[in-house]
Amino acid sequence: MSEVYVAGVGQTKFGELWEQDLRDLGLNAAKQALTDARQEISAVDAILVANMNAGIFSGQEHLGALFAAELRTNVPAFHIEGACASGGLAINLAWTMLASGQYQNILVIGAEKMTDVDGAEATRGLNSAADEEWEGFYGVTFPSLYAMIAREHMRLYGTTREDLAAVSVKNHANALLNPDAQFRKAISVAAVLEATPVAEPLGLLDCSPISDGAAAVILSTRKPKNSSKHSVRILASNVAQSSLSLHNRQEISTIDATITAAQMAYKAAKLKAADIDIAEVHDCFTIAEILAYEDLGFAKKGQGVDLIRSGATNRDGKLPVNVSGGLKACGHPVGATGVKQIVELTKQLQGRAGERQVQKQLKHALAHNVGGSGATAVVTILALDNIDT
Amino acid sequence: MTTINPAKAWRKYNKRYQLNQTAKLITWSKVFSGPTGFERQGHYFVAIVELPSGERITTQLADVDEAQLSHGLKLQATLRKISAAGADGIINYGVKFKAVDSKPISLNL
Amino acid sequence: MHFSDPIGIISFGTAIPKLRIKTDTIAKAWDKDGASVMASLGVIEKAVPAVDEDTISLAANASQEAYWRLSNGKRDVKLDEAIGAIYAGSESHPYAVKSTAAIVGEVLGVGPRFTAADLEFACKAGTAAVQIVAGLVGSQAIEVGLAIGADTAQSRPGDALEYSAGAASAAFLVGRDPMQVIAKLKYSYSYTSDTPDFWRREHEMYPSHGGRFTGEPAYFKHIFGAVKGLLAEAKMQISDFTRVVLHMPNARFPKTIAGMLGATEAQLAAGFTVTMLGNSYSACSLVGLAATLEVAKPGEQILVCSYGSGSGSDAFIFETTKELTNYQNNFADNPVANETVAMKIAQKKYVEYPEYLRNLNKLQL
Repeated sequence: MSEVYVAGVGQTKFGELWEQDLRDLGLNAAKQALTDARQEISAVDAILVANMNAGIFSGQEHLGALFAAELRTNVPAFHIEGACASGGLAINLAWTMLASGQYQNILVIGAEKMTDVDGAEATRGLNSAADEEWEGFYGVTFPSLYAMIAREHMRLYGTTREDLAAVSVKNHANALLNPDAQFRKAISVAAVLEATPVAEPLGLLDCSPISDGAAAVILSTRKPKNSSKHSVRILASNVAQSSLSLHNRQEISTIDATITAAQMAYKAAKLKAADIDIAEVHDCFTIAEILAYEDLGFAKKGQGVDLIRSGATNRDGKLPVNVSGGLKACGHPVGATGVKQIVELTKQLQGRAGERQVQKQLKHALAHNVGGSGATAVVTILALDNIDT
Repeated sequence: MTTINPAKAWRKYNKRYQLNQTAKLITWSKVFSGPTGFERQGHYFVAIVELPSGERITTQLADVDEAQLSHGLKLQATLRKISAAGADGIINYGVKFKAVDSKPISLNL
Repeated sequence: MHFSDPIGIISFGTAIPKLRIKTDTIAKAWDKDGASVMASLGVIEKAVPAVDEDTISLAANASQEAYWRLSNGKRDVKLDEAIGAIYAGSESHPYAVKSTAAIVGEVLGVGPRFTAADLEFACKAGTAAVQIVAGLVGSQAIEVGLAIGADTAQSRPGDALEYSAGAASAAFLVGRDPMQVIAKLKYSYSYTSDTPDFWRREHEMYPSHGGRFTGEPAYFKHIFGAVKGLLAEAKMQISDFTRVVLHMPNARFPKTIAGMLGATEAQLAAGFTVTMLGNSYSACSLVGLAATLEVAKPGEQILVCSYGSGSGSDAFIFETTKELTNYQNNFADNPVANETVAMKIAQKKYVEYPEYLRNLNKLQL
């Protein structure tokens, strides 16, 4: 099996980007990644496009073909969809394609354009990540699914709304230092608690926003030539599924797909949870980050709140989580998120994350991307080469 | 504006209409902003309930008295309107659950 | 019309929304004096559908209750097969074209071998359904039929009708098995004419109505005519009846016609639901009948008379059987079908005027 390196990364701003459409966003990120990798498009031998809702939001399918044409190449191009895990799945598939030796240099673009439709339509589009027949039919929304998870977690483990609010506060504080983030505004726990209710017990500031944006990476079997930065390798990438609907989940307040994918990834990378130095996790809603701490093995089940209460996952903590601002504050253009996580972690590992650079020494990074209310989970572990552990 | 496909709804009638008589409330959320088709109902309550068989389903709660809502609350089924695609579209009916009124009754849940 | 023994009601159920609005609340919205409105109409509050209730959901829930009271809360394949017809009467069918009765049949799971259709005749469409179903059962064309009256009554905001136009449903299973009949249908007499007291044109949201014309030439004339004709055919007098159930557009009209017929307030009491529920149009007299049957004893004579504008009255003589007591005890033990009309009237939650307008879609959203 070939080694797989992150050869180049790129990302657009995330936010309400009225002047750019899906095409513009994807191309922007792709070109940045090519530049970062010092490559021409001719070096790329496949393109994977991660996107969830272009059909519903823009009436456009056939995205592989669209971006291949825009980039003026006719290499194989694929559209990958797994709801909010689309980006992570695309990374996973690219890694698999490269590790197999069939391809040498793959461009992965994650892009989403969500603001051309109104709020109710956006909610309906996102609902297609749930069980449309048996959940969507009854008017569930994504906030309400995670709200039901939160209520169970609170009942079983004593998690409070303040604990959830602290996640949002942390991620907003991190985003202040991220020029690409959608929200660069500090918030307080009180503000989160008083925010407009969306689906009790979650309010507006517990929920990631509707965003436009794109991110891209070039993954390669060839070790990047640039010696000014250490290379970043993908040590492992694993995917696991669970029930599509929340009502069929084994335990409502656990994303077992995350547990499975993480365990497989740690095993493949020959690491333990404690070896992870930095992580980007899927905080589509504040409760999701607490669940991630537990399901990724950073804390025991029911004790995820200890990490947020102690500040361990702050930017200057023992295990910085979502230094980019996470989905909440950096934004969540659905298909882009999983790819953006790789962009962020690569920059952090290589010491080029600018103002928000984590100061402690980083060797191992983990990206966690979830689809739906926990139906799909992707865990990818990156490592910085030439560093003694 | 219509997004409800009548054939799609029809296919599931006998599963959607079964007035499974009783259930236990597991978790719920009060939804303030619904998706297309639900925007004009004011707030509503989505819930996961457990049927006597152990199977869990997603549904809505009807005739809610918020102070009563708690994990384990005994519920019974009632037919209600779920959504309609505008003034000219098909109306979707389905089962919602309301609290069993507190009277001494024996329920095997 | 005379019906042979033993055609009659074998089970019944009702569905009444939990929400209520007080006459006083409506009056205040229009700068009227609630106390004088209540004094004049005798309606204190009325039932209001929740935003997810309509004529079809009410009809289905009432029918399901009637079914379960007979089947002890379980699926009964024999009952499914026995039901050969469903007729649903309403002025507020959610579809102008697509049958309420057919949807109820699908919800109950009794098809596909049954006939169905929807009826309209203002507030007497429900009792018309009872007559049709009794005819099919009586002629032995079917074994059991389901007759439903259901409405989420419409009234123009600010109109006098707003104080009384309520919502509810009552459903009756009619059969001919002597082991099952709890109230035999002995006679029915209808009095019908073209009387333009109250009407609603196609595509109009709200009905139009006469003023005092709705009294003597309409309500009073037809109820009087139907009851007199019925008593003559059955060779009975009003004093022979333990219970009298009349259509209740408000509290005053039925008391007045009762007086004219020689019926007492005691006879009216059990079925007099308008004070706390309002007038549920096609369900009105049938809900009154259901309430009566929930407290009646065997061997009682019950007189029922509906009134539908346009106009017509359907009058009935029922005689309760000894099966009634068993039936009442049975459903009292049935956790999914044991709420009486009295219990449903008592379970309520008040709404203010804006929520009432929203739920009845009077804002045309």
